[in-house]
Amino acid sequence: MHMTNPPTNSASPAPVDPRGGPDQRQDARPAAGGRGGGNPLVALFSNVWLGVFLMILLFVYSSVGSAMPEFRQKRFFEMTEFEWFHWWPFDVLVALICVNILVVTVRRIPLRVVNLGVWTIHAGILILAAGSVYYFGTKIEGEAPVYRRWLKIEAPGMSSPGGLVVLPENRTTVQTAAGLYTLTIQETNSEYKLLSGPDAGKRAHAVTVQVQPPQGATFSRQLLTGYPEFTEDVIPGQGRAIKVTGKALVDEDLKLSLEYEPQSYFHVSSSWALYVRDVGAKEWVEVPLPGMPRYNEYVSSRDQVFTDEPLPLDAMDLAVALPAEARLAGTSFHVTGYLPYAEMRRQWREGGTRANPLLKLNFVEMGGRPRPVELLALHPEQRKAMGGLVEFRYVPDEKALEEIASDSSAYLTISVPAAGVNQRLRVTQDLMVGNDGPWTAIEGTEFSYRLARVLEDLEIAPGRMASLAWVDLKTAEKEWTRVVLDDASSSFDLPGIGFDPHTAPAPGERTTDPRIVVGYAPSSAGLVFAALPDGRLFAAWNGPDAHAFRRFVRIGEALSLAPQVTVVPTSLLLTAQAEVKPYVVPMSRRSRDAGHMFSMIKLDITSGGNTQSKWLRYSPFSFPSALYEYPGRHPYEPQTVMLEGGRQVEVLFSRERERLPAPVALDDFELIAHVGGYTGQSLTVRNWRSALRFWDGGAWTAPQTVSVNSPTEYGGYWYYQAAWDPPLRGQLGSGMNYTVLGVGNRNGVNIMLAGCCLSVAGMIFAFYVKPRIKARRRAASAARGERQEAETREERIAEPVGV
Amino acid sequence: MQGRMRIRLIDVLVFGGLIAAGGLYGMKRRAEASAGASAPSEFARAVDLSPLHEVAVQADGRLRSFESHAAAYTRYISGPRTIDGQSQGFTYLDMLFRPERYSACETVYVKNKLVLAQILDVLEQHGSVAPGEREALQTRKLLSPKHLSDGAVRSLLASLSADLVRTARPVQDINTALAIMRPDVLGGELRILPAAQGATDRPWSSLWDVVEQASTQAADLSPLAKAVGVEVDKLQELVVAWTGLATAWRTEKADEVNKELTRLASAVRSLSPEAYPDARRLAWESWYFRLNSMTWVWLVYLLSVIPLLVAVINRWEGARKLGLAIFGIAFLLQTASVGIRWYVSGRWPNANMFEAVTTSAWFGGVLALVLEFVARRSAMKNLFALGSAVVSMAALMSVYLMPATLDSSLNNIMPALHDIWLYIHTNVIIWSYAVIGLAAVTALLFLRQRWCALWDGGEASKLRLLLTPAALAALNVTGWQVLLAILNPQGYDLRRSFWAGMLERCGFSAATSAELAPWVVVGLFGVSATILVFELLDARTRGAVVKDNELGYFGAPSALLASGPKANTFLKSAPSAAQVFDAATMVTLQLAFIMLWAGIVMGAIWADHSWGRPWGWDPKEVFALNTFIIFLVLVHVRLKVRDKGFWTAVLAIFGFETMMFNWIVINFIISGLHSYA
Repeated sequence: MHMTNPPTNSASPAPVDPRGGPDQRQDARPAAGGRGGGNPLVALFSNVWLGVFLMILLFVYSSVGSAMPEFRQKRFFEMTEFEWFHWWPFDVLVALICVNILVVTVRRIPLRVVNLGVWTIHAGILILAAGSVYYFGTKIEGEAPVYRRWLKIEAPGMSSPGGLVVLPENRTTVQTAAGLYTLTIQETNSEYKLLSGPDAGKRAHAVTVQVQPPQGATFSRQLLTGYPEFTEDVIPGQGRAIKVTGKALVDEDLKLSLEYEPQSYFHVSSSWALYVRDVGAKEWVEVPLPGMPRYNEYVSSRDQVFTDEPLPLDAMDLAVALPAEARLAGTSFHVTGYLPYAEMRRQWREGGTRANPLLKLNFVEMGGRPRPVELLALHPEQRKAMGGLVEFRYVPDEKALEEIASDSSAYLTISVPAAGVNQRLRVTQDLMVGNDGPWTAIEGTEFSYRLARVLEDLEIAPGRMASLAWVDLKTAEKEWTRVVLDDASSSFDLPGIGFDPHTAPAPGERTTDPRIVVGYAPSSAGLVFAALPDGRLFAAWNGPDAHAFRRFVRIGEALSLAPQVTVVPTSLLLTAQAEVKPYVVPMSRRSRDAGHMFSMIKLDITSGGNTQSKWLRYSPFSFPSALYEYPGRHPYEPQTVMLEGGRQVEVLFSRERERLPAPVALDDFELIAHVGGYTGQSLTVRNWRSALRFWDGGAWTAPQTVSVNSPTEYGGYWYYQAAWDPPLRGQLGSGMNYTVLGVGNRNGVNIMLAGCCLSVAGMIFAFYVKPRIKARRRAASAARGERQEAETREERIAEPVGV
Repeated sequence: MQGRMRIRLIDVLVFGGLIAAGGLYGMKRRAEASAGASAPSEFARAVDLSPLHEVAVQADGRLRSFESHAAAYTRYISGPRTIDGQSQGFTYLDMLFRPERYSACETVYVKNKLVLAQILDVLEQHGSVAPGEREALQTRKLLSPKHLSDGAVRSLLASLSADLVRTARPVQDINTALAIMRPDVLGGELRILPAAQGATDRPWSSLWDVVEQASTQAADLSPLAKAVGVEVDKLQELVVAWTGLATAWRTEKADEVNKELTRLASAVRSLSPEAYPDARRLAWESWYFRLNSMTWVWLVYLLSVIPLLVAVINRWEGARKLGLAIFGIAFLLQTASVGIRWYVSGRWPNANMFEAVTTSAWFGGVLALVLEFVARRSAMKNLFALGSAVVSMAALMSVYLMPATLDSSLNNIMPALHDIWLYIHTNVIIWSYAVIGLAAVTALLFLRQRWCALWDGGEASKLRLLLTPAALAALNVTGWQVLLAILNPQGYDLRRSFWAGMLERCGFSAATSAELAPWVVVGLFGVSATILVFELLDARTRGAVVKDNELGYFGAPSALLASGPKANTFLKSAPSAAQVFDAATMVTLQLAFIMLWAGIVMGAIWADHSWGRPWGWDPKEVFALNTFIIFLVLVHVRLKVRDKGFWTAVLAIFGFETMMFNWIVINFIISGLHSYA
C-alpha cells in the first residue's frame, strides 16, 4: 500500500516527500518532525499507512469472529464472542492502533486551531480505549433468579419453622407435635381480586396450599401476599370454612405465612463450575472449572456415548481443584469428558442376569417411514404396542404356543358366587348396548347387566396401558356402573349410572359390591410374537385370510400383514439389559436457542482407590434444593456419589456464582399486556415490572422497580429484566412466581462515553468548521493581495497533516 | 462543467440493463404469483366488503381493521399469493363460511424450496401430482390442504421437523397454515365484539364463538350476553345478522350478503361507541392494506431515475425539471405511506425489517431534498435526488418483490423498543444507511466517469476496459454465493444455485450441472477478483495521469454550503465531472460518517442504561463498527493517496457492501439481538 511514500521503516533518513506528505518544516518542535531520523520504531508508528493497515486487520479479525462463529468455536479456540474479542491478538491489535494514533498525533499533527478536530477525535478514541480497558477488564455479568415468596410453616412441636418456595406442585412434610403434615402448593394466582377490605377491587397475589393434616380430611388454605388477615381455609366440597364451621381456619395450630425468598447470588454468564456438598447439607461449595471447552465433544472412547454421526475422539482430563472447605481430602475429581449438546438415553443390549425378552420391530407402510416398536414380554405395560395391535409373549416351550388364540375377541365374565352362576360372554357389537340400552337379566339371580362400552389399551399413565369395560348393573334397589379393568383388582363401583367427577370415589376409597364379580379379558392382539428360551421366534397374525399366518419366523424377515403393510422383527434379546449413556444429538437437531442447556460433563471421582464415573447434566443455577427447579426452563439435576467409607456427597454441574452486594427479594412482579390482555404470544406483552428490595444493614430498602429499559442500580451492580415465569396459556394469573434478573457491573462507562462525545464533536469540527476557517483565511489572504502560489503552498502544507 | 459527459453505450447497457432486469424480474414474479389462478368468481366480485372497513378486530394485542386482520391471517396461509384473485378479506370470510371449497384448492404457501421439493417428490410417487403439474406447483409454491394431509406427506413432514436447523421452521409454518385455515380458528380469532365497558385488559369476543355456543344452548341468550358484556337484545340482533350472513354467503346471495354486512358492521360499531377505535383510523388502515402497503411506489421512483440520470449526464434543464417533479411525487407518495403507517399503528414505523427498509429510504429522500435545495446552484445539483431515487427504488422494490421475507403486517413492537434512546439510535442508524447508499450511487458515477476517461484516452485496451465492469458484476454475484456457502445458512448449497440451471440449459446433464456449478461459482469468483485486484493495483500508477483531484481533501461540503455569490469556490467555476461526483460523494460520506458513529454510540448508551452493558460484541454491533472502520480507512487513505477520487469511490462502495452484508446476512442468517431491525 506504500504507493506515495517511500518505505518509512528504514533507518536511513528519507527524503522529504515532495507531493504532500507531512512536512516537518512547518512543525514548531524540531525534535518531533523528522520521520526518518531517530528511532525506526517511532518512525514506523508515525506512519498513517500503518494505521490503515492495522484498521484493515481489525476489520478482518472482527469479521471472522462475528460472521463465522464456527471458526472461533473450533477445537483450538473454543471461544465465545466475548472471549474472541478479548484474546491477546485482539488486545495487541488495539494497543498498536492506540500507540499509532498517539505517536502520529503528537509527532505529525501540529496543535493549531485548524487541527483541533483531529486532535479531539484522536483524543476521544484514546479515552474510549482507556475506558474500555477498565470496563472490559472488570466486566462481570450474570443472572439471578428471584422467587416471589417462601411459605413459612409454624406449628407447635417444631424446633424451627419449616417451609418451601412457592411454586405450584411443590410439596413438603413437617413433623409437629400433632403428627405429620403434608403441604402442597396447589396454585398461585397473581390476578386475585380482593372482594372486601379497604383495598377491595385491587389485585393481589394469592397462594393456595393443600394441607393434609395428621388426622381429619384434607383442606386448602388460601393466603394473600400483603394481607395476612385474609388467610382462610376452604373445605373441599363444602366451601369456605367460615361458612361451615364459623371459624376462618380449620386448623388454628398450623400457622402459614408468606415471606420473601431472598437471593444472595448471581450466576456468571459463560462460566463453568462444579458444586459439591454432603447429602443433607444446605450450602453448596463452589469449585470453578477454568479451561473447560464449550462447543465441541471431548470423549476418550466412543463407548461412552451413543452417537449417530462420526465422533472425533479427543480426550480431556481436567483436574478439579477441590477447596479445603469441601472437606474432600483423599478424594480427587477429574472432568474427563464434555458434550455440548446431549441427552441421556436408554438402549438395550444382551447380557442381563435374568430373562428379559425384548423384541424390536419395524412397521413399514408403503411410502412411509419405518416405525420402530420395542416390546418387553415380561413388563405388563410394555408388552403391547400400536394401540394393542401387536403383542409380545415369552413362552416356556413349544406347547404353550398352542395357547396363542386364533380367536382374538374380548370376553366379559360375570359370576354371582351366591347363586353359583358363571358366565363367559364374547364381546360383540350386539353385546355392547350403550348406557341407555336394554338390560339383560342374569338368570337365577337378582342382577341384570348391560355393557355400556369398552376402552382398550388406554394409556392411563405414560407407558402404562389398561383396558376397561363400563358395565351397568341393576338390582331391585339400585342401579350403578362398575368400571371393570383387565387387572380385576383395580375395578370399582360408581355411586350411580355414569361417571360424575364430583361423586366418583377417590382412588383410595374405591370398592366393589362383593355380591357380583365381573371380569374383562381384552381382545388379544391381532399380531402376536412369542419368544422361546432357545431364541426362536414364533408369530401369529389373525389378519385378512390371504395374509394370516402362524409360524416360526426369522429375525430380519419381512412379514406381510396387509397389501401395503409389512412388519420386520429386527432384533430379539432374551436377557436384555438397559444401558444408559448420553446420546450426542446430531447437529441438525440442535436448537440454536438452547445455549448450553443440554451440555454435560463426565466426572471421574476417585476415592479410596476406586474410581467411578458420572455424567452430569448442566444446571444453570446452583439452587438449594430441587424445589426450585423448573423443568424445561431451569433444570436442576444434582447427582449423588457414594465415597469411600459410606459418605455421600451431591455434585452439580453449573456455572460460577458471585455474591450479590446484598440479598435481593422480589416484592411484586407484574405483567403489563397490550389491549386484549396476554394471550401467550410475545406480541401481546407490553412490559414487565419487578419491584425489588435489597437487604440493607438489617432492613429491606424501599421497593425499586425494574422493567424493560429501566434497570435499577444497587451496590455497584445494575439489575435488569432478563427472563420471567410466563402464565400458562389461557390461565391469566398463573405463573409469575419468579423473575430472572440480569446482573452486571459497568465500570468506566462514563469514561467511554466522554471519549465518544469528544470524537463526535471532533468530527463535526474537522468536517464542517475547519474548512470554513480555512476558506476565510484564504479569502483574507487573497484580499491582502498575496500571490496565488503562496496560498497553494499553505494549502499543501496544512492539509495533509489534519483531517 | 468541463469534461465530456454524454450518454454512452455503457450507460445504456448498464443502467438500461439493470432497469430492464428489475422490471422483468418483477413481472416474472407477478406472473408466477398469478399463474394458474382463475379470475374471482361472480359472487366474489359482487360481494362488497366496504362496510367492514371500519370494523375493528382485536388480535395480537392490537385493535386493527378487518382488512388488516384478514391480510395478516391470509398471509400466514398463502404467503404473498392471492387465491383465485380474491381480496384477502373475501378469502378470509369464504374460508370461514365455506371451508369445503378450499380443501382441494391450492392455498398453502410453502416458501422453503427444500421442503417443497421433497413434498412434491412424495406426491409424484403417489401419483397425486402429475409430472406435468410439478413445475407449475414449484413456481407457484402453493399446495392444497388435501395434498398436505396425505399420509405419506405427513410422515415426511414429521421427519423434516426433526431437522431443527434447516426444515423444522418451514414445517411449522405449514402446520400453522393448516391450523389457521380451520373455520373455528378463523371464526374464533375474529374478535369483533368489544370487551365490556371498554376494558383494555380483557379480550374482545368473537361473534362466531357466540353463535356456535348459542346454537348448542337453549334459546336463552342472557348468560352469553352477560359473559360477553352486551345487552341481550343487541346480541340477539348480532346473532341474527351473523346467521343471516352465513346463510346468504353459503347460498352465494351477494345482495343478501351485502345487506347483512352493513347491518352487522353498524350493529358492532354501536355496541360501545365510546371505547371503539376511531373510524377514520380503521378506514385508513384498510385502505393502506388494500393498496398493497404502497410498495409499488418504486415504479414512480424508477420513472424519476431516468430523467435525473439524463439531467446529470447531459445537463438538460428539461430533464432536471421533469426528474425532480417525478421524484417529488414519488417522495410525497412515500411520505404518505410512512405517515399512514405511523398514524394507524400509533408509533413511528421503525420496528421491523419492512419498516426499517422503507423508513431508511424515506430518510434518504428527506436528506436528498435538503441537499438539493442547498446545492441548487452548484454543479452538484441533481446528484442527491438521483442517489435517493435509486436507493428508494431499490428499497421499495425489495419489499415489493419479497413480501414473504419483508412482511408488511402491522404489529406491536417488543417491549425493549419502547425507549427514547433506542428510537433515536435506530433512526440515526437507518438514516446513515440510506446516506451510505446515496454515497455509493455517486461513487459509481465517479467510477463510470473514470472508466470513460480511460476509454477515450485509449491508454488501456478496450477489451480490458470492457472486462472490468463485467468482473465487478460477476464478483458481486459470486461473492455473495461464496459467502453464503461458507456461512452455510440453512444448508445453502452451491450445487443448487442458479448456475446449475444455466448449465443444464447449456446441455449438460442434471448431475454434471450440479457437480460443475460450485466450480463455476468459485472460478468466476477467482477470475473476477483477480481482474479487479489487478485493476486496483494498476490504478495506483494511473494517479499521475488523471488530474481530477484538485478539489483536495474534505472541503466539499463547505464549498457546497458556501456556494453563495461571494464564496470563492471552484464548484461554480468549471469543475470536471469527476470532481463533481467526488465532491458529492464526500458531502454524503461525511454525513454518513458522523451519523453512523453517533448512531453506534447512541446504541451503546441505550444498551448501557437498559442492560448495564454498552457493548456486547453482538454480530450486528460488530458489523456496524466494521462499516465504520471502512470509512475510517477511507478518510485516512484519502489523506495520503494522490488519486483521491478513485480510492474514495472504491472504498465508499466497499463500505456500502459491508453495510448491506450487515443488513441482509447478519440479520437473516447470523441473527443476534438486533434481529428486529
